[in-house]
Amino acid sequence: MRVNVFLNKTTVTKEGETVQEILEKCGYTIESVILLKEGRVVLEEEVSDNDTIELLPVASGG
Amino acid sequence: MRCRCGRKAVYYRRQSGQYLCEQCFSKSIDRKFRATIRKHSLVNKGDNIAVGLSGGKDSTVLLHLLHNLQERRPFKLAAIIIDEGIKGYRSKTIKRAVETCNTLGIRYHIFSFEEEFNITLDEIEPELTHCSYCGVFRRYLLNKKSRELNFQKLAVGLNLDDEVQSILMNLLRGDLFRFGRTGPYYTEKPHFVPRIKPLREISEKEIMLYAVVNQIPVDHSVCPYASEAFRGDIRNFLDYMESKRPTTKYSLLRSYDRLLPVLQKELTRDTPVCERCGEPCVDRLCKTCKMLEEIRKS
Repeated sequence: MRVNVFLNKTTVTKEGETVQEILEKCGYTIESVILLKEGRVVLEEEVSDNDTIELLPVASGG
Repeated sequence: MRCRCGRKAVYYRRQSGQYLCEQCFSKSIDRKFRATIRKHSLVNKGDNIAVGLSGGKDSTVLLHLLHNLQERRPFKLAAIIIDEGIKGYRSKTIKRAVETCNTLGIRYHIFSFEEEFNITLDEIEPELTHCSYCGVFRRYLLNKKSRELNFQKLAVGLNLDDEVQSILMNLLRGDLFRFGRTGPYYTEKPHFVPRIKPLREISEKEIMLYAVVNQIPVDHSVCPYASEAFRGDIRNFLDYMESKRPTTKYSLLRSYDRLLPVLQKELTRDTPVCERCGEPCVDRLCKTCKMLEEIRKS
């Protein structure tokens, strides 16, 4: 699977067998981000090849 | 995937195997929040409660949930905002916190390190990390100002992740005194305003999701000093474990809560007051006075 990942105001293309693998390549786990597609929260199984997804890291503040 | 109510699911709760739509997810968070309050009697009718508000997701969601709870259980609610003096970061989050208070019609009080300690966090050249000073000074001010303003309780937005991180950090540091103080309702006497943690059974991810699906404006900034924290390593470890074994964090909290009565009996000490400032402490001088002394010497 090949996905365009929007994170920190930039988009990068990542490849992996699963969404979890792609997240790990971005330094996250499924526990540490929320996935958004076209501005809406989506499940990891809704992400498909060539999608653009936004990662919203859950950690913020101090 | 569909929620059991038939609507489109937006969240898979791995711990229970449930798919949830926005509405059912939000209701489940409301229920969990209220169950924690009931279980530990955190909020009573007529209470005068201050929320430590930063403008970030945890304290903002906490303020919203407590505000909603006021409809069922009348109590007084206000916010205390602390300005640590972190350039390019805190002014944004304070603006957001003030907007939240204005939207909900909640009164607020702002106090700063600069006014209280005559130094901003940015001006400190730390022997330890900035986070060490920030945590000590912020807790000191929240407690002191809550007491001076006659609040009976101080509600803080610590979530499940914060709690289990603290439990593990204290254990790894061998800090058994603090290890016995990470409960849902923490009080020490004298001069200590009881601290309540109504979000301690809700994960950081679920709090963020609650803010997103309910369109609660929160500040997503990360503190520029956050990367220094030992907490970051523990957070990564627990997130990794949770992704492998989805009940790790909750199980750790449950185990801790079962041990808590024993820990409180065996590990806590009486807390006298600081000889210099009169605030609660465990030694002759409180940690804030010791740190301020170090800063002045350097």
